[in-house]
Amino acid sequence: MKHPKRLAAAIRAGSLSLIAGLSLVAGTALAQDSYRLYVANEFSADITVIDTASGEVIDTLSISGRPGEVRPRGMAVSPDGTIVYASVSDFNPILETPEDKILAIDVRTNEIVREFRAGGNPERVAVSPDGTQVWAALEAIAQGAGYDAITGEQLATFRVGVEAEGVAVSPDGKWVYITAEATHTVTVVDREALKVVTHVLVGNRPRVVEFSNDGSRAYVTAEIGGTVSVIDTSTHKVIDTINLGLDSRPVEIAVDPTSSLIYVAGGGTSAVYVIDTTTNQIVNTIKENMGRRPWGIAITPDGKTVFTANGLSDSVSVIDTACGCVVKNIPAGRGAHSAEIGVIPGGL
Amino acid sequence: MVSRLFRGTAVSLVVAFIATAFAQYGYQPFFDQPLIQSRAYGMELILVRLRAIDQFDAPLDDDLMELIELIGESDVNRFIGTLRAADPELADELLDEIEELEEKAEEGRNHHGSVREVRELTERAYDLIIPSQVRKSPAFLAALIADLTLGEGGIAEGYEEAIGDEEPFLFTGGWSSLQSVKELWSQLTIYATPAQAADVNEMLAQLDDIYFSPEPPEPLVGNPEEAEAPAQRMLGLIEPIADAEVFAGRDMQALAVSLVATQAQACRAYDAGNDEVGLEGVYAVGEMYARYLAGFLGFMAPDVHEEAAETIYALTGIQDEGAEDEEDEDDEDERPEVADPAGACRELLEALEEAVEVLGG
Repeated sequence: MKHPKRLAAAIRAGSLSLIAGLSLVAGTALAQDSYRLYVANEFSADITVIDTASGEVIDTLSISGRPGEVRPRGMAVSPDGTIVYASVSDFNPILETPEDKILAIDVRTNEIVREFRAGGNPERVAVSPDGTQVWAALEAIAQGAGYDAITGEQLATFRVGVEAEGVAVSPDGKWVYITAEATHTVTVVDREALKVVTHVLVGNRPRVVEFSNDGSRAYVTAEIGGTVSVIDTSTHKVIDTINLGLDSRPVEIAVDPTSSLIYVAGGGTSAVYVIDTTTNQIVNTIKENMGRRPWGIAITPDGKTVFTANGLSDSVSVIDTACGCVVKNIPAGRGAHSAEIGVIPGGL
Repeated sequence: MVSRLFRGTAVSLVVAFIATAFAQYGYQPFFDQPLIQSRAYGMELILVRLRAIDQFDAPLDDDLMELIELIGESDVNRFIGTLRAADPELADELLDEIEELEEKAEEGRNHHGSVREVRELTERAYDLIIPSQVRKSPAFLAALIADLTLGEGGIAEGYEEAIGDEEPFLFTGGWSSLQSVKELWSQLTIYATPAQAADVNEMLAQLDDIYFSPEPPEPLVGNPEEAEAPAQRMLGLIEPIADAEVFAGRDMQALAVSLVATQAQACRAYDAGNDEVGLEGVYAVGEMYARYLAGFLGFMAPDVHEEAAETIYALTGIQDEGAEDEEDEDDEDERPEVADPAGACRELLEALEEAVEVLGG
């Protein structure tokens, strides 16, 4: 989930108020949340953890002792920001191996607190807004699947397009959108009725889908198409196509919780495209000092900082959204693929 | 039928509009010159297979024999009608030498001499039927690189199938495709900035690491999609260098409209009694259909897809990835005989017209 607004709201309503109360009782100032960036490294089979305030790597979580055979890819964060889910699979989609699973990482301790089987090469995951379900795009078997976030019980599976890739749950929890690379489609699942509503043709080789803050729109990147398709979620129809250029090769999207902007990682041009969703126009293209082939992208809940996971330079680029510029590059693992922000309410 | 063929001509005008409406690059070789690209691809495939089998001495492994069979059963059909029209003697000579090569290989005799003969005749055919100004054009070269990268048995698919289907000599085919791509790239480098050239060379170096020798490694294990990422990225880098769009499936509707036009042309050739030229058109259509449209139509309009895919397979032997996977599960799917190729051509045309409608035309 690249949707820190819900995350920020949940924190404000829940744990943060408790912490604030305790802080006041103790006579101390209100502690601020701290953020951790998680970067899934496809080829070194680990996850780099970066403290977003200092830009320092504070941990590297080994996912498998068999890098090159097992890989972490897409990630999502629970609504309160405290659990990061990572999809893990083998490299060979033909084989059914035990490595196909979803991990739950406690942001405060960086420990893997749960894991459950998700056979069929899970590529990306999403969390329902109530935090009770995890949804996965199962690449090898062309399915979308929902799981109980605590027990890992598989709740439902649906046939989607071939080479399922991206998945997102709408902010109201009604819809699950699942992209498929080879059929160039988004499959819409009614999460309450547990049935497929429709399949939508989008740009060529769709990768990632994200919902707008109010849930009225879904944005789908198309890697070969070089576009972002804009879907009206009330009709599930494409209402606009934003052209980033055929060489852009867009992958992940970060939705700014504080504004109408979305940030799109352009792997082909090593750029981040900033799009104003009120006009669906590109308002900035950030290229200078960017790492090579950014695929992953995440934004902090305060909307101040964007991070990209750069697969060819094995690095993270840090973008200050105020200046729209890269202010730092941080080494990550090999084949940095996806990025996600976890939250420690009240900080450490 | 006549009205359908006229419709095919009419849609070619629509294609010109659609294909240019969203064009970022100056050229779209798979739309601008689909038959020329397909014929050249056929000859490139022959050269790729010859290089592959030339790496090994007789007797050849059964899998390598399959590469040789593809020359006569498939590759040559992509251009032989045009070659025969230009130089019937050369066409016959080439077919005879291909047969000779097959016989020598089957009998376990030294095949290297025949490889040289077929190569020389293919190069003569290349010079004859592809105009020299086209052969030097960046768009043409870039499209061939895309063919040899994304096509069946090419750099990306060859590696995937070699590992996934446990067919080690597809690795050799992929290796050979890479050598051809490097030769074609060497002609494109003059159009690249130093930074662009460095990026492409980096991808080629990654592919060289994957295809480190013509001989398949033992055991052949690993990530079957390992070659795909650098191969795809390389093509993305080559597009602006060549000022040419080489992912023909970006706009599937435009592609379907284009295929209708090419197919209509093929059917006119069949109706005129020129089956070899008609078949060339079906190969051009079948290749693009399998590569770019089969996935979507198979998912969204399976009836339309089934009609198109079965006819393409019957006429050419070209199959999309989904059909190949099914065949792997059920090894008995034999290619049917086509009693009436002209009729089959029209059936395919009809299916493609339906595909255009499915895609919003």
